Amino acid sequence: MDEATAITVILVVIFFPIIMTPILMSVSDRSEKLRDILAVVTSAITFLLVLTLYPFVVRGGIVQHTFFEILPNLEISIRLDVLSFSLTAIASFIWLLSTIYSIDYMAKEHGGSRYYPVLMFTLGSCLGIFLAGDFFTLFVFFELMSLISYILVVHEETEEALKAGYKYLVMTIIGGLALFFGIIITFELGGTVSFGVGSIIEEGTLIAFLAFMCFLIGFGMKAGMFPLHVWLPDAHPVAPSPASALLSGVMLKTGAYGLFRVIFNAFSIEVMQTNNWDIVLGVLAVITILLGSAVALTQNDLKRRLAYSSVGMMGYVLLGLSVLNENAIIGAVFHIFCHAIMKSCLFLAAGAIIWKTGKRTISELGSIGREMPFTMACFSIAALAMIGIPPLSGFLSKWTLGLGALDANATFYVIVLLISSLLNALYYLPIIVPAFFEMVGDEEQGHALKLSVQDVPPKMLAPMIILAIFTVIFGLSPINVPFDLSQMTSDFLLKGGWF
Amino acid sequence: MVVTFNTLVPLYLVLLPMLTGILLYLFPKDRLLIHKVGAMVVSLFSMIGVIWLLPYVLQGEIFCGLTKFMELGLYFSIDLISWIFASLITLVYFLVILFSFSYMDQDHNPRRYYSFLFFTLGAILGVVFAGDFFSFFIFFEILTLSSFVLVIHKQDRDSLQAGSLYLYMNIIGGLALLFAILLLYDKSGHLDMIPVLEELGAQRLPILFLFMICFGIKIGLVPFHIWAPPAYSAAPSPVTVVMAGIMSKVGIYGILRVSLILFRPADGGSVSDWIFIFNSGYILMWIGIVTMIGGALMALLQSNTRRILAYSSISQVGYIAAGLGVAVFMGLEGAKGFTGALYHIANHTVFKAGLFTMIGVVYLLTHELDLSRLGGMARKMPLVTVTFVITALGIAGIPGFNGFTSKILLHNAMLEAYKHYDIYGIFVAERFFIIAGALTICYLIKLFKGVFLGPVPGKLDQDYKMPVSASIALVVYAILVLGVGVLPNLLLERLLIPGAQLLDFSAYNIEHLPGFDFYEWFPLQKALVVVLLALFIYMPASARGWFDWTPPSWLSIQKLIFEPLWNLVLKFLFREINVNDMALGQFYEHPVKENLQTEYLSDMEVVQDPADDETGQSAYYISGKGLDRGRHLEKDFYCSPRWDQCKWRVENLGFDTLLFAFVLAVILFIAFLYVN
Repeated sequence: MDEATAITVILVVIFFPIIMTPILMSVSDRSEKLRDILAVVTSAITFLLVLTLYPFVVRGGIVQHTFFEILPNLEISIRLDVLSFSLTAIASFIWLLSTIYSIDYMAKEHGGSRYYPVLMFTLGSCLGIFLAGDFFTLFVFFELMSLISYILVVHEETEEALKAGYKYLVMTIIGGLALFFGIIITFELGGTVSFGVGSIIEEGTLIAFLAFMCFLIGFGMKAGMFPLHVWLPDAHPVAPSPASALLSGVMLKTGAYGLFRVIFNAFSIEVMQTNNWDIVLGVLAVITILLGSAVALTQNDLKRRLAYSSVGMMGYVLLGLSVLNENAIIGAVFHIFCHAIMKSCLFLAAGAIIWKTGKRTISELGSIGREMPFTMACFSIAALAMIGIPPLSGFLSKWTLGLGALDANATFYVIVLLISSLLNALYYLPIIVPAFFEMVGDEEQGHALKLSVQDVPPKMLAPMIILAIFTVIFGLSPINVPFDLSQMTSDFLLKGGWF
Repeated sequence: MVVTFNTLVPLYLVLLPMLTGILLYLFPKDRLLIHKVGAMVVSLFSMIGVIWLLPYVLQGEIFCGLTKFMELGLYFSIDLISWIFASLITLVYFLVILFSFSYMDQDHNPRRYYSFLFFTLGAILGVVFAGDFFSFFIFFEILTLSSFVLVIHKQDRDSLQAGSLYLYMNIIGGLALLFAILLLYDKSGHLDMIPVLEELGAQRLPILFLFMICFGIKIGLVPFHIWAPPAYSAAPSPVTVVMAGIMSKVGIYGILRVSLILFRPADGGSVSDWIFIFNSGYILMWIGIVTMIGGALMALLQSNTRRILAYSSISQVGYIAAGLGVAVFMGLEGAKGFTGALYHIANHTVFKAGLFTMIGVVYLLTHELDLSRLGGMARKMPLVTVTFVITALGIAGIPGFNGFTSKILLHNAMLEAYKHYDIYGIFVAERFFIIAGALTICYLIKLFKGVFLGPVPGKLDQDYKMPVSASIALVVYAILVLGVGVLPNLLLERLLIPGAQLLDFSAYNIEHLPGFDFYEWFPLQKALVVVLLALFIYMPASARGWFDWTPPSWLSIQKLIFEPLWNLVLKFLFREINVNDMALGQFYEHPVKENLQTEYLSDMEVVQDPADDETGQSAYYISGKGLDRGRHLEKDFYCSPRWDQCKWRVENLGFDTLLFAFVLAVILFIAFLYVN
């Protein structure tokens, strides 16, 4: 594949789902079945097109293409490198599974004709973020995705959802403004905001720090970083479960991706480390990890607990970004992969439980594993991976992050990671263990209780099972594509991250 | 000359039970015969497989590696020490399977039981075959999870509670192990089980400490033993056999690998290295002494048969830890302590598994665990009584039975250490060793008297039919106990001394060991002293009823240390974090506190009367009434003073929001100045 083809593919990947949005809208009036099929086909085609870019990227190919300039040096451009590709691939993959899952899930819910077009539009804008070639283009897609996904958050239209959605909207606007401000400062200082020129700002002046803080607010808000995470535990649980899986599994990663770009393209590792900005990030990351895990422990709503767990887990990525050495970056990128897979699996499984039984609180979930063994098996595998039990994939990312922290002589970070693992165990195991082993009724009755399997339909089960299998494979398999991609990303970023 | 055999056999030996475990779960539940035959064949096959490796491990070590596994590689290596553990494990597992045939006929869900039993076997074999600490860690974690399912097999309240304590403590142990190997990897760049003490530098103490926490939890060293008694009394009988006989040895194996191989200087070593080794060994010995005395004392005070044996297990593992401690601090001359510890590992596996099986058989037939409700079983179950006496004499250290041999070796090693270093502490430790031996006899007398002697309680006065397969297992245990006692030097010379030669002990020291005369006057005299001391303690104490005293619940380590710690964390730390998080959420909340829509909805709900559903016009009625009432409310609301509080006015914005806006404005202003 040469560069011209790659550009075409990238354009199609971004705009095909967006173009499909009105088509889906018009179709959904006529036939719901056709609408569902079209939505799945759209996301499947997008995913396959992304996969065709893989050989190009593995060979070391980079696309940086400008379409036109809005102002002098303020461009609309696209970029593909190994970092963009990693996130694009995992995002479109999770999106495909989530769309498949939605078919049966949304059949019970209202407003499907609104849901699918919005889902596809969000896919396009989300991939646009990952494939943008400069901060301005990224910003445009970022705002598009944030605003459109509001509709996903408030889909249930309950009072709770509207309230959470309002919070989400306000925070998104604050974040967007901060981001825009950061971009303006960067443009003013460096004369460009393109990703194709190496580090734009090379001196850590106060104004540069201001830009960094603005970026941190904008992207950190999206990634659920500590003082700005408050929208997340409200907004993620109220959305329909496949949308929660995407919000937690994919859209959080746009914030982390933005921070990657800020650190390596707007600034550089030297700027970060000589001015001690990495310590700012590190402190916030540590607080995020501990707070997310500790608060998750006290939640009794299943999806809320998962949402707080997401806060803690994104802290891992931020921790890797603050350490900034080879192993830490491998760990951070690989953790993005792992967390996307694990958390989507968890949210889909939680959604299946809610869909089937209507139970949301954790204390009600005793012996649910007898009714829904496959769902709970997927949930358990993903949760064990979250805790970091080897040989599942979550362990590998924790191990690499820990090694990175030790390479930087930051033993404290390792302790934080381990405490967080313990807290993960403390809030995930009390879901899993009663689900399989708690007796219902008195002892005699419980012994006689037969396994009455009433699991969800296969279209909902299949995505969960696929995700659970990938959780195992990405830990065990000798050919570990995400880990290799993470290693390539790390090499690429440490060499400057732009050529 | 050490020969390395490159073969995949270790991998097969680990995978075979694991795959069997998965396969057994796939067979239908009601075809129990398949499960039984499968369990029998596979456990026999693993045992034969391990024994078949003996000629190879005597010449060198067996190695296999999957280098691409999880980026670090999965390595197996079997040397003689691993082989000794593996052969004990598979032997006891075979006997456990025999016992399970009888036991599981009465319990629920045997399919899950057999399945996880085999998965656990695979994990245990993986741990002892592991060639580096990463593989060790992987199997260690798998072992924790799969054995958890066995512990809570009953699924009642007690077992779930005991199981979660077991699980969480072991997960903490696993995290400590992870931290230790991370630090180890960072310092030395590899995770092989070879001497690396010089490379560790200042990190050696934290690493050793973390390893000890992990293994201490696994084997139940004081003060990490709190999970053991509840878990032992909650688990099914065959599982207690596995836990006491086998899983505690996994932790011992870890201590052995870490303290005698990893924490050794690669060549010579400096003085400070050896001082570090001496101190760590000395502390390990004292932890062992405290564990053996504490365990024995606690065993004396129990009235539940399984709890007695659980504490006895803790106490006996203390012997092993003390022996390893002696071996460590004696440095190059610790061969005797090491062989003693290794011998006691083998003996303890046999007699403790045996005792748990016998108590398990009594439980199986009578469904009683409490000493006060048992009695007179000697007449009802003669076979159990005879084998119990033989095994108990083994654990008590009576000449002619197996425990005697290893205890004498350990005792001898301690005396030698005292002679060598002339430190008074070692002398005191040796006295404690004798006392612990006496206490062991005391609780065994108590256990024997409670279960087998005295009148038969009325409820239990019936004829019992001994299960056949369990009887076979009992006889095998008794034969093993007697066999080792009669031929003490066979095992020592054929296996244990070659095992000691694998380590860096001086050849001179090892040469003394073959032909060790167990039955000369000095050891026999020691055994006699222990027995007399035991009688001296037991008779007055039991006459006054001291053994029936129950310690107040606040005196336990759980109540004194762990619960306050946990409460502090949960009540204080987590609550603070939560409160702060909630406050943070409110900071961003809508400044207008009351929401018009909320008012609407709540009033609509009041209007809806369930009785209205009966009539056909309910929907119409509700909507109309609701609308009216809504309009009414709206009017009321706009006229009320509360509307003033809800409007977007500066005085209605919360203080937090104003502060936030102010800070934002200042930042923007400064930025504006800079940009210009």
